[in-house]
Amino acid sequence: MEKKSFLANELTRRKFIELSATAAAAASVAPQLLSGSKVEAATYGHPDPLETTSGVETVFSMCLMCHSRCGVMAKVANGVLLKVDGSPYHPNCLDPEERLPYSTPVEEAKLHRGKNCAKSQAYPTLVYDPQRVKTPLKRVGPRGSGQWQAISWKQALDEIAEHLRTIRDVETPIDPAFPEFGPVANKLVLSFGRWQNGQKQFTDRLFGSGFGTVNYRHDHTSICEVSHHTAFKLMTDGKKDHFKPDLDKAEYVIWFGASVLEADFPMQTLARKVANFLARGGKMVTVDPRCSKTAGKSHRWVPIKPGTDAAFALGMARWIIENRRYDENFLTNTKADVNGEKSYTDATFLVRLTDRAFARDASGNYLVVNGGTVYPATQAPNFKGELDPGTVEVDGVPCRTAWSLYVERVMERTLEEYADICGIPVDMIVDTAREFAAHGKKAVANPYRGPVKHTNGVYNALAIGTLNMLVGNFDWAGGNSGGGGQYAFAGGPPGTVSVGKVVGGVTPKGIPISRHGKRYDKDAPNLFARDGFPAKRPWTPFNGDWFYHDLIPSIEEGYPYPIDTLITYWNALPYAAPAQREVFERTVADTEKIKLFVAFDVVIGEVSRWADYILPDSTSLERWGTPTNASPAITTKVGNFRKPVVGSTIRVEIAGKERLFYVPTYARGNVALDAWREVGEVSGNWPEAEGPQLAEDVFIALAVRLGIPGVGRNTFDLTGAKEGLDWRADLYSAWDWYLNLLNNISVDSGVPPEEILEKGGVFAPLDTTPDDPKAAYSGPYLKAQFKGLLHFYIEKLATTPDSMTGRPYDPLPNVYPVRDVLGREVRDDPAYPFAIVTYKDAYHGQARTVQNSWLRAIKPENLIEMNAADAKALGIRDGDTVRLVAPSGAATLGKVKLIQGVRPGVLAVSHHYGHWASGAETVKINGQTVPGDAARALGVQSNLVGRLDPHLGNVCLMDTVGGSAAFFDARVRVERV
Amino acid sequence: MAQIGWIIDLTRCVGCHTCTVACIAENNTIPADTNLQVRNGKAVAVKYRRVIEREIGVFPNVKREFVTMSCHHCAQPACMKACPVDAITKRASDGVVLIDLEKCIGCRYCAWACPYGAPQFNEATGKVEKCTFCQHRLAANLEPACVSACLGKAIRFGYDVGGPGQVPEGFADPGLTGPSVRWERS
Repeated sequence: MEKKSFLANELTRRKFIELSATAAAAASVAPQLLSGSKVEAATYGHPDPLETTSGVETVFSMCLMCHSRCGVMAKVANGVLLKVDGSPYHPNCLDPEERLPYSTPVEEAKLHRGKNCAKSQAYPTLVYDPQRVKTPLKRVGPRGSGQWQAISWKQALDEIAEHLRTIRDVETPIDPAFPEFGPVANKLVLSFGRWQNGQKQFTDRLFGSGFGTVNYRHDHTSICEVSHHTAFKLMTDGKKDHFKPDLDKAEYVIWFGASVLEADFPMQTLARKVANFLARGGKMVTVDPRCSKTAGKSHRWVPIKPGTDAAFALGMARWIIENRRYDENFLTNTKADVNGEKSYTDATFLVRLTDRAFARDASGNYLVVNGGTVYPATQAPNFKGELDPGTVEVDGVPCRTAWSLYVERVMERTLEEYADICGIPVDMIVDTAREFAAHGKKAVANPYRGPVKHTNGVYNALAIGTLNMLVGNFDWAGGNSGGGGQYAFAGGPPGTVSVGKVVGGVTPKGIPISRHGKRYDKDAPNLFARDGFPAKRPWTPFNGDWFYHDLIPSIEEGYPYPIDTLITYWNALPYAAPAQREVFERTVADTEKIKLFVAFDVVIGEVSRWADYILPDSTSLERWGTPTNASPAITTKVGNFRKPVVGSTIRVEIAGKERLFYVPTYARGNVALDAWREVGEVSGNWPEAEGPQLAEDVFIALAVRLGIPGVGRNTFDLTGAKEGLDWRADLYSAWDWYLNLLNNISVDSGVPPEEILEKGGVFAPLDTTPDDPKAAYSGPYLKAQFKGLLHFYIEKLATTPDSMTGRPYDPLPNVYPVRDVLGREVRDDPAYPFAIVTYKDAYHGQARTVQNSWLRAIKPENLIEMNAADAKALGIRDGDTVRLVAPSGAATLGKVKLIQGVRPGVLAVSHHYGHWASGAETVKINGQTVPGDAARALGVQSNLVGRLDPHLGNVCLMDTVGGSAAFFDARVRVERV
Repeated sequence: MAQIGWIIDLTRCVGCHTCTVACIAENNTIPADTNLQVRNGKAVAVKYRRVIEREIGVFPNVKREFVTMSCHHCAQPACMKACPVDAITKRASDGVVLIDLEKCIGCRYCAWACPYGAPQFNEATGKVEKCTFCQHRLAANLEPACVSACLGKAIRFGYDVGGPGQVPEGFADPGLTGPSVRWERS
């Protein structure tokens, strides 16, 4: 082990440029590097060599500076990443008329830069970050003490495997009294901050079906947007978790807490489409307590009180209903694809007033009323039902339509009451409602994180969702788009391989400690029998995306059962989740609650600084991936494929096939290859693995040591796989896995794997001719259609008990105050008069971009943005340092910026700065001091003063319906320092 | 001589700062492999193109405007007049204004003279640098890095663009130096 490898930079970008310029000038092989007169040469310093320069490669791959899944085109020379631009093939990166036809050869395509955002442009500063961890580290002091020893991969993985063997037991129950907890193997918990499609299936397979833990993937969506997903899944019977306006044809868009010029996804695409939309004369309204960049470019900024979006939306609904501006034809349809509409709603469906379920016939059909007669919805005359036939008896049970229940709910409050709740004048609600309805199918109301990261998040999203149902904008050009979809990377269609299946694998059993998607009284009968209502901690039966913010608090409480080992990957919980730092630090410091803690990271981060072992990760342009599933803003089909743009490979024959093992930048050897060599599957004299390694290869190396199913020979079932492709029955390296995924995309798209790999994915042809079978539009409709049922009334909510209150959930959109997990209103304390909203800068991700010096060069620190009138009242001046203090006593310092563009009583803080690790921290490695970069600690992170749930006490407020952490329900006081 | 110049659409500028970073990346004005130097809350770093963000109006009637700016390659460059060692020249072929770093003595007179803050002092080299209109790319018939990267398609370039058009508030009197820029609001 080279002791200095943690610190030493090898071939750096800067050196490369200097060397290559000198070499080129001497040899005259690349005149572009130093062309023209001496004046010009001296002037332009060290620009990148041109893409046409001999020896300069262009590599097509996928960005992961955020989750937008934009194609990129990387410029690489001598193995060094120089610049990253957008891919000219990718629909995120260029408008339809500009995007290159997929058939364009890469040699031509490389001359046409697509768009990518500042974050993506800053990739070289991630790959070559001087604070990167370049060797496995083992803790030598107490957890969190910043004292490390550099160790070999072999030592790290041998020691980790030795411990994991003690809990790899898929038979013995954790607790015989509670069989629902599952076996001891569930005591291994994996938690991923950012882990995408392709990667998820890899670890689900290896740790679920191989190791046998049901805790195989606690990922981050609960601090992201999950209540938005949950709400849309409730509205669509689970079929769709996300819609976006078709901005290319829309006329009127209301963004509810969605700042598409700064965040959301894909930000760069939405920002470009918004620029086009504005230039074309489109009208935009933004509902947000802060005048975001989007609000600042909108025709109307609605500076709403945080968390009261439902009041604004239901106020709009009230005006639309009272003035009959809703689309009656759409709402009275009883099935899909009739009377000029593609989708339909439950407006005319009868709901039983007794058990609150939908009335159904013996075959399970919904029932509607037409001309005084009750019909199955699919058999009603002209497929029409009545919106409000009054109370109707079906089998002796009184019923009313979903519409009438919705209207009754909307009418519970007057416009003035709605206006008072959301702090917006009645006129503004009415003007917005009138304009919205007037644009009909080409008007869209779109929610994102703003309305949903509250305790009432799902109800805000449902209220906004129903506005779109009133005008019936689904599937229309310029309306609400469900997106063009994706190619089946994980298998499914004929000829593909279902890669998730492990030959000889186990089925993970029991309840994950996240309890997401599980119903307390039914899925945990013994626990329910012991504890009854309320449960000790909330269960979220409608949340399909884990329960990230409650992971550590649940581990602290040992609920529903104690764990043993925690493995984290690209995880920033104490930084990124509200009010999480204290509970995180006291829980991970406890070696009884977490006996082994392993963290993958690219720097010593806010999470990994507490680990027993840090395993150095490659960066996101040093790996393969299939980050498919495009945003619904993209109306054509995509099959994204990421590949490493730098690094090298070792090619070895094992079991009759050539296996490719990846060696990232700053690395030597490959850790999976070492593992196979050690067990005698292969021999050779390549160097032992050092430096950052691909996480998938590390997991393979661990699986080999554990002897679990899922790796090695004949682990995939290739039955039915299309002939003529290089399928892999065996899994020796990450590439074996990704090759199967690549082949799946090839089978589903009909494009050869080599071409998909070369072009960074496969993207449906352009919408240039109306008869193009993959066009974005079909007459006045979107080509990719949802064509499904949309609910005003959510039956599941009405018929499922809340694990905390024991009462059913509310099935209709509603206005709720901030509530704790017991459903009790959390009243504002006048001593803490300020609400905090956080936001993303267009040039930052969440926690991660602190590493990118080029991005921090734009703004080295963030500020607490405060309305100038509030500041005046408190005697605070621009630039003053203040202390934000939460009711819990948690406090943080920051500098104030006085602005007009935030509602009085609200503070706005961007969510990227104020780190205490991630390269900011000075540590000791092998007894030597390794200095941190103090500039990464500049600024303020307002999550530190997030608001705790008063009942649970060790976790932030949350939306127990949607599963979200409540980011924007914090209240603080501001003290001058 | 046809004068090269910028065409900036203020409606289309969404304040994303991609142009700034694309320029840093293209011209390597900040090393990728060293920690960022920060002094008094400001980055000690050379940026040829920047985006000015501003708020217009009083709560609740607030708008935001974003103005992307670099060297305007002026008809009468103030920087050129201010340079005591004739390091700054205006190229005959297209009017691109360039600094000869071998002649530059780092006195920063040009930076003080320029009404747009275009010349940037590089502490590492002790010289002044600025936007070159990516003339290395122009020479190969490729777009400047900021143009190809601009998300909102707010930055275009052309020859004899006929400015200054609808200049943003606070923009220096175009009569002073004759900036080669046309401002639009589509």
